[in-house]
Amino acid sequence: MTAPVLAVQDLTTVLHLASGAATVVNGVSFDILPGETVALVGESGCGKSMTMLSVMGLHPSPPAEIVSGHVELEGVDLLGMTEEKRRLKRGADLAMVYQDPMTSLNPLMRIGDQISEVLVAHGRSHKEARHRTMEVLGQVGIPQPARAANSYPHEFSGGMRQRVVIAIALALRPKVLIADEPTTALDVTIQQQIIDLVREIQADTGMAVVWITHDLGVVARVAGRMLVMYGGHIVETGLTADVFGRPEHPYTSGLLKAVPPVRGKERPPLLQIPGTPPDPEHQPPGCPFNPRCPEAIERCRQEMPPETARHGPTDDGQLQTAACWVPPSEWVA
Amino acid sequence: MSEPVLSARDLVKEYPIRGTRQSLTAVAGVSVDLHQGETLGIVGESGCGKSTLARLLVRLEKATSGTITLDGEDITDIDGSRLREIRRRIQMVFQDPYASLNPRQTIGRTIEEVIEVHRLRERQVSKSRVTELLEMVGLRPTFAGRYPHQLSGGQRQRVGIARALAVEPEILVLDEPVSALDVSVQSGIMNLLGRLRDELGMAYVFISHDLGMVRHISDRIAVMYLGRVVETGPWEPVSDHPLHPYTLALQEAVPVADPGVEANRHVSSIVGEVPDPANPPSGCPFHPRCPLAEAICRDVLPDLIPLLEDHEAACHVAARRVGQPAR
Repeated sequence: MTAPVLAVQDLTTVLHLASGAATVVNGVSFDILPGETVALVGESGCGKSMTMLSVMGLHPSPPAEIVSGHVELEGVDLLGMTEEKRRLKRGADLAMVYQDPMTSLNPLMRIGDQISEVLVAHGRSHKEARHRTMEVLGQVGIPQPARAANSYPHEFSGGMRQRVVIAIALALRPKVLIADEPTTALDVTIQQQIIDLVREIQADTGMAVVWITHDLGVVARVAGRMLVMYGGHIVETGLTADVFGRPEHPYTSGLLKAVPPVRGKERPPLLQIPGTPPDPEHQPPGCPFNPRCPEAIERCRQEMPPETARHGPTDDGQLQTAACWVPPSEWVA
Repeated sequence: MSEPVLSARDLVKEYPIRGTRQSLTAVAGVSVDLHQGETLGIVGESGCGKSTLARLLVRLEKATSGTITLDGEDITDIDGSRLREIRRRIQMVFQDPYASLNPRQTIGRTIEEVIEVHRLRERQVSKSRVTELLEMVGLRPTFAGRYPHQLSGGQRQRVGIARALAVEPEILVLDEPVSALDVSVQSGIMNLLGRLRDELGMAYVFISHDLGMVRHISDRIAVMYLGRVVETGPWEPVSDHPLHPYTLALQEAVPVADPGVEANRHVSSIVGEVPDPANPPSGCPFHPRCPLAEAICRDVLPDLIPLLEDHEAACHVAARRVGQPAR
């Protein structure tokens, strides 16, 4: 079996708030293999962004604090190293792209300088940095790279700005790209262009991508494998086709039925999941989904179910796992 | 077919561009009809003019030219008490109700105020009417005592809908009503809208960038691009068998939550971006991005004409393909 490029073990991050400590990432473990695209799926407040920020060491501290866990990039422990060393790893091997490109670009600095700055900070000469800047602007499909390099972010559309942010992330040829809702603010035709772009880059470079999204359509389109988060826990994992085909967690199942079908003459009412995702400060005891779950039994209100293997392993060693006390054969909904 | 309740003809909205003598055409000649009890879905990407159209239809803004009629009566230029009367009959629901709720006022008071402004009930009965309205949108009566910040996004949108319903409108214009909500919350609002429409016999104009949601709720769909309707007809042919290459591009760009479907799809992304409405391309506004564009598309703006029964599109190439002469 291939060694993972990124391995996260039992990661737990708490937020220290005036009202007390809230566990926003709760014992999260997963592996990312070289070249693969994995979707990290969940609704607002489920902990998906905080998980990946913790992996990057970019969690806002304070109030966030990683209280346990290991993060290994190609076998090297990231959490144990000094911030200085981690900073060099970040960008070089592990890069992140955010939802709103405007907030990750400096409005007062030319695009080209923003890309070169990253390269120079990682030890490239100014000449090398300039060369790579032009190369990477071309790679992300920005017309006339030399002219673009001299422009400011506000001179670009949202889609072009997101290409610039991706160019910055790619400048150092990272092994893993963490894309946090990179297309959520974009129109669908522009989203498709960005999806194609990331795919092309992956095909060229063998970079792995962790795609954080709430959009199940995007998951089906981009990801070979998916991780479903709820209330700070990973509640289901597996190959995308398997998880969509036979969800093992009632939350995954509910999410899939809440989306309107896009084919056929039938338009049945959509499945509703009652209530709203829990606020990290007020997590219920037991499984975080239990207050909204149609399948919840007494045990769910007392004890968090462990993640267990449900199907597999497949030929390439992949398991479908879920953290739920009630098997689908006993579901009532 | 019966007469439409709400009808727009050749609506144009131009905004002056500050510091210049030029103007930007946000809506460039749109005609739509809404029938009793029907939902007209309007779908398009940012800058297509769909939100401006919504604001014109509810008379929050005045059209530069064109006419709007409500039950045959021209409401394009009315104001004063007649406009207030129209506001009772057409209500708007916004994407983010938080922005339109007074943070210092309880939910109950917010809804009561609407009832009082429109003098729909005596003051004593408006409280019980609030309870009734909250129940209609699936909120417990105790919500009347809460403030907007104490509510989740989905609950706030329910309040936004209850407030719109307070005046017993015939028509709701819904501008991206579920776009800001989580997936599991969206479905509840969509079901609520469907139920209210059926129970109260209202007609909806449902505006969204999300073709999936528009497809789910609409009887008819109009697809907008750069200020114009480029395709319109019943929901199923427009969403599933589109005639216009832009609608097709939109449909293909929307990822389907089904890996089986996605694995067998070869989506070719369309090039470029929506042009600047202040400087629109010549001819068909879609031609710079269109995979089918021909010489004529660069020069001649295609009219929106019926190409199949009850199914119109504005495309030279599509017209020829279905054997209709384009105008």
